[in-house]
Amino acid sequence: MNRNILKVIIPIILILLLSIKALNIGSIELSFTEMIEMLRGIDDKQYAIVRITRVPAIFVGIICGAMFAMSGVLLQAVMKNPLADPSIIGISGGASFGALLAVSLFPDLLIMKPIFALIFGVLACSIVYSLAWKGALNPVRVILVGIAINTLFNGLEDFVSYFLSAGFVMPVSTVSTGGHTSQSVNYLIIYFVLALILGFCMYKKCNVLGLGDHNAHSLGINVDQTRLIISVVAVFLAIIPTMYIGPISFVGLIVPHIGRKLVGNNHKYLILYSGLLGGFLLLFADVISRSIIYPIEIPLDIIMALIGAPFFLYMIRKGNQYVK
Amino acid sequence: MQVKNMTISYDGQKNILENFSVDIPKGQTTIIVGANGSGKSTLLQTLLKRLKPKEGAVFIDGSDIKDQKSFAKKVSAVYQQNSTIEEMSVEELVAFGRIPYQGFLKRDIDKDQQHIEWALEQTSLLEIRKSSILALSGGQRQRVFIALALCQDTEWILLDEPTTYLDMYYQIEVLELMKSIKELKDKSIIMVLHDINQASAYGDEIIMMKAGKVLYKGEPKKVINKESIADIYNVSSDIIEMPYGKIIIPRTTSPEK
Repeated sequence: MNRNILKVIIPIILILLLSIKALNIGSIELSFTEMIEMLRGIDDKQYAIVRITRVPAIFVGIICGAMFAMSGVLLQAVMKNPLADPSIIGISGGASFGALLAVSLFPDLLIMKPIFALIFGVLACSIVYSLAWKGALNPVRVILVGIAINTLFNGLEDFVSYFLSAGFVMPVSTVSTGGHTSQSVNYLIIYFVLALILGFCMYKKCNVLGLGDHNAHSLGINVDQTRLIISVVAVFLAIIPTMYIGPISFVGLIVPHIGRKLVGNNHKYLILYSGLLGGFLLLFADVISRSIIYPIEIPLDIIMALIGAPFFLYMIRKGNQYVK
Repeated sequence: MQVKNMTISYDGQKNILENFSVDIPKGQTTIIVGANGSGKSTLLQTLLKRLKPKEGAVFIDGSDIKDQKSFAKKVSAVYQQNSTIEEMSVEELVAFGRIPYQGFLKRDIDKDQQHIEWALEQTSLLEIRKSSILALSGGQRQRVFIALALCQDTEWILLDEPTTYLDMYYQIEVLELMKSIKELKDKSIIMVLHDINQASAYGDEIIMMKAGKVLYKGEPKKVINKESIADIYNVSSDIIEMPYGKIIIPRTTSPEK
């Protein structure tokens, strides 16, 4: 079989297998025929529980993973830096501070958490871009300012946590694919379709930037404007999953690297392919987080860091493209 | 192409070009030479509108083209170093040259393809059109970027030290290629070159710069002499006349005037 087809089919099969596994983590276990019946919508109390709690989590895992990964590809293209990911432009720090603030200010209003995450995520990356702008958008300046702003928001988060810890116990981490209704998953699917279209539309722009600013300019491309447009799409792609499951940085960081190894640096393929790999990776981490010490669910960001960090180190040690 | 009363500095520092004006003739190969820091690359960046001038403007056929896409239909560029995209074929890269002619949903596929074919043919890349860029040598890669500029179908082609990282064979190949392109399609070419001998052999007109000013300008056989070489490079030299141009042999760094 054609190697390129295999590269697409294998992650799809793995996603399907993981989805089946994910459907069966919990007190209710379904056989294969029961699973088919449940998916066909046959009325049953057990099936209803699985449909309401587990199916949305699978969709959330796959879609959020895909969006984080695509965001990482776009940011790495814009910054021309293999270390760029959503946390670099302040989204993660801002969004997690926003979420903490919402939980502490309005402990009874859960709806405020994603709203605050969105507001502070956008606020943080607006600060990063406006401070980095100095007549032109210099990628190195964006990264340096991004690190500072992310650290600032992490500090603020610790500060708020410290003051609150005397009053009541804060959840250590709430990064999880769970707790979503099928209606909120429907919205997520709409965002995802939009993200796929917008992300794919960016491929030419990313490729032109790959030729270097000077060549892009002489092809009539406004380099700063192009960077800004791709960044806005990348922010959208990162904010939505951050709102749904919380900030996870490793997906956006490592998946583009794996994607590049498998399909190369042509963004026509890399953007969507990284989405596919990102969906797989987050679902994989989700399955582990739910099953490894069942019935306790380990926060997803912890699992992602435990998988991501060693893998990233392995890639740096093995590859030589980062140390020329 | 005209530069009129141009003043340029990097980040508000000292002016590299000050009240600078120059006329560059159409249909010829103009070569800009000068010592390091003479402002020759700044001049080329200025002509390419990559730098924002404090004052002055660049005019093509009397008009100052503000729109970047319209400008890219008139002027293309080839640089000494180019990043490439892995897994991209020669043809795919050359096709980037059609970007100035493409809108969000607007694309003349037939015309684009015609230009791609023509550019590949002119640069003898037809046989390796499907090869990956990464598989090519430095010289072949430079040819691909020249093909990209040709595919852009501009009247002016500007080259910034296009031979710097190439061995002698590919240096001559690039210069001969530019010569044949100019003759065949009546293009106007501006090149920044470090090698004064190559400038003498391949330029119809030469611009010799020092400290942000044009000290000598004209046909190489008229402007290249011991005095101009001493003024520009601060070296004394011997000059041998050959049928294709002058050969300059530098001797010492303390010119006798």
